[in-house]
Amino acid sequence: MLFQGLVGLSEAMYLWLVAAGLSLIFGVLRVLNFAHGSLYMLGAYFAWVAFRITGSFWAALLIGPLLVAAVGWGMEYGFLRRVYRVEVAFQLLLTFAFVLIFDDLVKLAFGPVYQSPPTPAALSGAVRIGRSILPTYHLFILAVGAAVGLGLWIFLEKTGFGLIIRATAADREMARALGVRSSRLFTWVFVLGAWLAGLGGALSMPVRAISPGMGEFIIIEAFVVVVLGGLGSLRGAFVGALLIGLLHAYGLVFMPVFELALAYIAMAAVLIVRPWGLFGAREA
Amino acid sequence: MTALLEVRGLHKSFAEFTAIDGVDLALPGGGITAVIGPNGAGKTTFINLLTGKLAADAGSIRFGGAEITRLSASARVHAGMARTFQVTNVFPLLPVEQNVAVPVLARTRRSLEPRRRFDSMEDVREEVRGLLATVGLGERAASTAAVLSHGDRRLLEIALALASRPKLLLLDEPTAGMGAGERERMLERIRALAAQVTILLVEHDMEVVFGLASRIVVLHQGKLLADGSPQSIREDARVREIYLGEASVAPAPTTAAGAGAPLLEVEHLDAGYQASHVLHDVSFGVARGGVVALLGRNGVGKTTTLRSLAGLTPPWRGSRIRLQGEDIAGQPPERIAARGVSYVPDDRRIFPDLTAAENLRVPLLALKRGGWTREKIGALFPPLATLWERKGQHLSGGEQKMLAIARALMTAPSLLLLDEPSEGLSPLIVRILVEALAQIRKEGVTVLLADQNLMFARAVADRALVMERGRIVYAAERAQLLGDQSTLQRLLAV
Repeated sequence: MLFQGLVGLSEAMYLWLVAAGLSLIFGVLRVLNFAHGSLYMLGAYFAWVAFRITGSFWAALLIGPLLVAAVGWGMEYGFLRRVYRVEVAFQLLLTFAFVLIFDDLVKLAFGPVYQSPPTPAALSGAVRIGRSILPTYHLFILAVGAAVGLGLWIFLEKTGFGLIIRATAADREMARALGVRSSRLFTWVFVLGAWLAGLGGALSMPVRAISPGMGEFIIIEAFVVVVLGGLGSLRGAFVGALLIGLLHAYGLVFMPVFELALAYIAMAAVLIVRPWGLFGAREA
Repeated sequence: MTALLEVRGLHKSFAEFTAIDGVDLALPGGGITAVIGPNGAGKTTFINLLTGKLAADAGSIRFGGAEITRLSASARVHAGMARTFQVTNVFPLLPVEQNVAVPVLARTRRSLEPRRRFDSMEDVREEVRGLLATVGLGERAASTAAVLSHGDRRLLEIALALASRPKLLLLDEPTAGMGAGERERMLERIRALAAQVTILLVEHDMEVVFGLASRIVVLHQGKLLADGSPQSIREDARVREIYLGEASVAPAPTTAAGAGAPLLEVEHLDAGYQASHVLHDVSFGVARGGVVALLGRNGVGKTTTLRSLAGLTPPWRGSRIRLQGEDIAGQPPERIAARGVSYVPDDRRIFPDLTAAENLRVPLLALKRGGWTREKIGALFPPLATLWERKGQHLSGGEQKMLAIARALMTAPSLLLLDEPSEGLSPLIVRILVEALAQIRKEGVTVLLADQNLMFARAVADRALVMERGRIVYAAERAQLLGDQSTLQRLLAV
């Protein structure tokens, strides 16, 4: 039982990293980035390439997400900032276009085959928990996810840049009237969000098969998580991701037939009771 | 005969703020009744309670003899109550006649007949033609709603409201943002409509109110202050007082504004929102070190003027705003803030999840320059000195107001723009504010404030500009501001 829970929580960490970036970007830029799953996919591919070149898992884990952050910079600086003033539908179209472009670029470069790189030696062992055996890598993922959560919390709550982000997310116009240079801020927030997704992708590389469709799969779940937790709320994204991870893990054991539907049922249930999500701001 | 609309003991609160506090009102059928009152009097809440957009906390609303207090908004429309909105609400991509056909079909429960083409429903078309003729849009029937002028769009909205065959029509600022010609046409139409439907309207423009209404109801701080004929309202001393301000604020001694180059020069400022043209050719200057009050009733363009100066509502082409000789018109707000213009909105806009201290840090971090110190702020606004760690959302309205001004000072501004600084404040806080403004001025900060309260302006300003319908119509130096009763009262009171 405990074992299933730990597996679920570690699976939840990928989702958390993607949802955190998605939620952060939505909270500040008010743009729902469809291509966030694609950034996760790029994180995995970039890390894989970096691994093939350097031969080091740790180097890959560093380089992959940084390259994704650079892609994020290009997306925001070159494209997104031109559409903040237009209708939301066009913003969605633009980010959806990125989904298609990134997918095809990945297919062109790597082919549509599944790539499965190795687990690093240091993390390839397993830990005995009760009567079950848990791969060390799962514990590593849990630790990284928790560390990122703590890091984001410190960054947002304790630093000046975080304060400006919180102020801008709460009232963009007033923040600008007080001198916040929103366009620069938006770029950096998008870069940070992209880096988080890239980190999720890079971390998933050794245990999940890399394929061009992995981005679409996770973005749907990430949307569920973000809506469940409350749009723009990082705490909501964290709790939402854990909830969905646990639902999947226990769902597989107790009702495998319904496992895939559970996440959506949970979302629907939450939305009926709290349409603004678990931790979201209630609209006036 | 029972009244068409009968409101008894109506109450509505939002958190700790009471918006409507025991209002009684009875409307017999017929005529035009206007609801007026200064900002924050509860007019919009009152209308929303009538239409069912908000649910009352206590009290009852009877309509046509039936109890409707607990009915939904759509049920009230069926009962014969229709409204228009402050902001236009039409289907922009549909032709005018189809816009009107939507509520006609809805009323006759035929909206779900996809196989029948609109063209073949002769009865519906007939009714639509009649409604368009009533509001004077007969010739625009085939145009797309999006291409209509602002005035025509408001008329279309009225046609939409009439399509539900109401007994009572609620109009929310029907002439807001209109030019003189459009307004005249709207007034004529509303007068003509009064023959077939009872009208209740909310409006800021006193000329419109007195040109239309047979009865005027004055709300103030959620209570019904006065109710009577236009003549009796005009002569009511209490009504005059709420529009001109409490007489209890003692004027602070002000020194004459420094001579020399003006800090701010505004020339031919035009601005608005989409089709609504709010500011018309506004020109004025503010001397360095002065305190200038922009006076006028609600809806005359004071806020839009301040927002244009701060870069939040972009001025239209051809407007010139010079700060220390340099044109800042059309620049983004963050650049204007960096140049030393700081704006305090009337609704304060404190960041709710940030503490008071964090609210003050935002401009310091954003502009990377020293503003005022916390000690100086504490001396300026003593009540704030113990509240630094409290979250913005847990501060009272008066505390938020002081914090908003303090936050603006943290940008180290040369020009401070204050929107409705005295609105809704207790006399104690107003006194603190008057002293603080004198101190702020001593520090060399120039102040441009917008207010409805003549007494407050008298206490702090050395010059006043009076606005009406998006134009500056009167400028008063300090002597006139203190001495000239009749002109200012005519422009500011009802």
